[in-house]
Amino acid sequence: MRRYESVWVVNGDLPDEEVKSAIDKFSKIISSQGGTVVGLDEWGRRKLSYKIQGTIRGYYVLADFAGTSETVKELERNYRIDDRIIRYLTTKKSDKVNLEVLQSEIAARAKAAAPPAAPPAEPEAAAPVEAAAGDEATAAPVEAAASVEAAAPEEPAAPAKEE
Amino acid sequence: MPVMPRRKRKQFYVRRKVCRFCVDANLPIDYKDVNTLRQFVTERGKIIPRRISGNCARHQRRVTRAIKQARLLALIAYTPQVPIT
Repeated sequence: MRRYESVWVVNGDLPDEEVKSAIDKFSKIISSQGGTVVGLDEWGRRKLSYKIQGTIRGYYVLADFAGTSETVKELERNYRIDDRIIRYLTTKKSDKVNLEVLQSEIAARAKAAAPPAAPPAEPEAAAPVEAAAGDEATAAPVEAAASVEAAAPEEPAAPAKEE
Repeated sequence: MPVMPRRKRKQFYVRRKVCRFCVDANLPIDYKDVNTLRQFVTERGKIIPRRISGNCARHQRRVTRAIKQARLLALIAYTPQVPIT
C-alpha cells in the first residue's frame, strides 16, 4: 500500500447534485479498489486560471488515500471516462503506509469534522462566484501579480563618463 | 591625442542570495500552495530562473515541478489571458 493524493476538478457549471454524485462516485471507486480514503477535502468552486472545455469554473476535490497502483490505475481510467471531470492529478506521497497511523489519522479527521458539524454553514454557497456568463471582458483574471523579481543586481557605479 | 581615461570598472554588489527553502526547512513546496508558487512566476507566467530567485538546485527543481502541476490543474495560468500591451 502506498499513500496517494488525488485532486480532481469537476466542471463547475454543473448543478450541485451532479458535482456531489461525481465526488461520491470517485471516493467509492477508491474504496472499492482496495483503497482506504483518509480524507476528502472539497475546496469548492474556484475560478480556473484558464478556460477548460469552455468553462471557467471548477469544483476542486482533494482525496488523500492509501492504495495500490491498481487503485490509481482504475481511478484514473474512470477519470478519463467521466465527462464531468475536466482535470485530475494523482501524486504519491509515500511508499509505505503504516496501518495504525492511517487509522489514527482517519480518527483524527473524523474528530475534527465532528464538532463543527452543528454549524456547517456552507462556505462555498455563501460566497458564490459572481463571475456571470459574460466571461469575455468581465472575467479578467485579477491575479495579484506578486512578482518577486526584485534582486536585480544594482549598479550604483555610474557608467563611466566619456570625456 | 587625448588619452582616454582608464574606464572605471563597474562595481557590483554581489549580494549572495540564499535559498529560502533551505533557510526554512518547514516551508513546503506544494502544487496546492498557489500563493507561494506565484512568487516564483513572472506576470507572464514564466518560471523565474534560479539565477534570479536564488533557490538552490534541489529546491528549484521542486518548485518547477510544483508549478507545472499547478498549471495542469488550472491553479496557475500558463500565460496571462489578457495580453499585456
